[in-house]
Amino acid sequence: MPTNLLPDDPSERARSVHAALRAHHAGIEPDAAFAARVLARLPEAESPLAWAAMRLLPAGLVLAVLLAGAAFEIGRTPAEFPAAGAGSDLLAYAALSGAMP
Amino acid sequence: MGALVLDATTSLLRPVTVKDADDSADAPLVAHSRAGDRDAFGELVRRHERRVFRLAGRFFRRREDVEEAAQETFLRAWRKLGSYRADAPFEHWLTRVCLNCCYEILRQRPPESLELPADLAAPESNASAALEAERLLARLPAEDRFLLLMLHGEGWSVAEIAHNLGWTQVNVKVRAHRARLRLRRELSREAERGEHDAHEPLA
Repeated sequence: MPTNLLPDDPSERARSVHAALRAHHAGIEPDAAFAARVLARLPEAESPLAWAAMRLLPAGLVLAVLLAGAAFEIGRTPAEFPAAGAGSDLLAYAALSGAMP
Repeated sequence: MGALVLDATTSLLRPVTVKDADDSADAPLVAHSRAGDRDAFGELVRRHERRVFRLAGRFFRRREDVEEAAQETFLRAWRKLGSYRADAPFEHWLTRVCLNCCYEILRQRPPESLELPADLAAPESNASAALEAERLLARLPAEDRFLLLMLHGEGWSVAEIAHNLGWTQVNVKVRAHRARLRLRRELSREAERGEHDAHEPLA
């Protein structure tokens, strides 16, 4: 049995395929419950608390890191300061470094 | 003189049609849907579901595949409602969403089996040739089938396809050219196979 069911003539063959393309349709209609199935798959609306948490938390973390960095800079000990010169500044230097009571 | 409306495509004034009434009926539903009103979106689904099924039915044969593409279309539309601009009818925007969904689903799928569904509705005239053409189409890559079905099935122009898929017209032309070449190649192979079988001695 021949397997080629298309016309022999190439142009007729192409026309047959184009006709098949135009007719290529599943012919399927939506049933009455289709809209309900779509609505059932819609994502749940976010609660205001969840919305705020998702947005404020990252910003809060960044702020905390920045503040920690700033606190580290401000809280440097006197020993890290450049050493004062001899003479009148020596007293001040000693006081700051805790050498004197 | 009847009411006139500005045509979004031609930017010319034309008489109001029934379709304009449909488009304007979508506007409040879209606005409410954007605000999260699921009932309004459900009404939009019911208004456009047949069109989406008809479009998805171009690319898929089985009911479950058409349903999947249609559901995905509306789910994506819900997520992307914020991107819809009211300068074009909602139906046009939804068509774009549907086409892109169908295209992505087709590309992700393995090549279709040559077994066609038992309930395939073949055209009454020349049913055998139509089924054979269907098998040829099934052998083409998903992208080729998609383009050929839009060009020859829906009868869309290159410009319309480019607009709806967000491709350039040059891109569509190049892909369409390749798709037609592959189709011609498959047709030639079928012809050679048929001639070979015709010359095979009967058992």
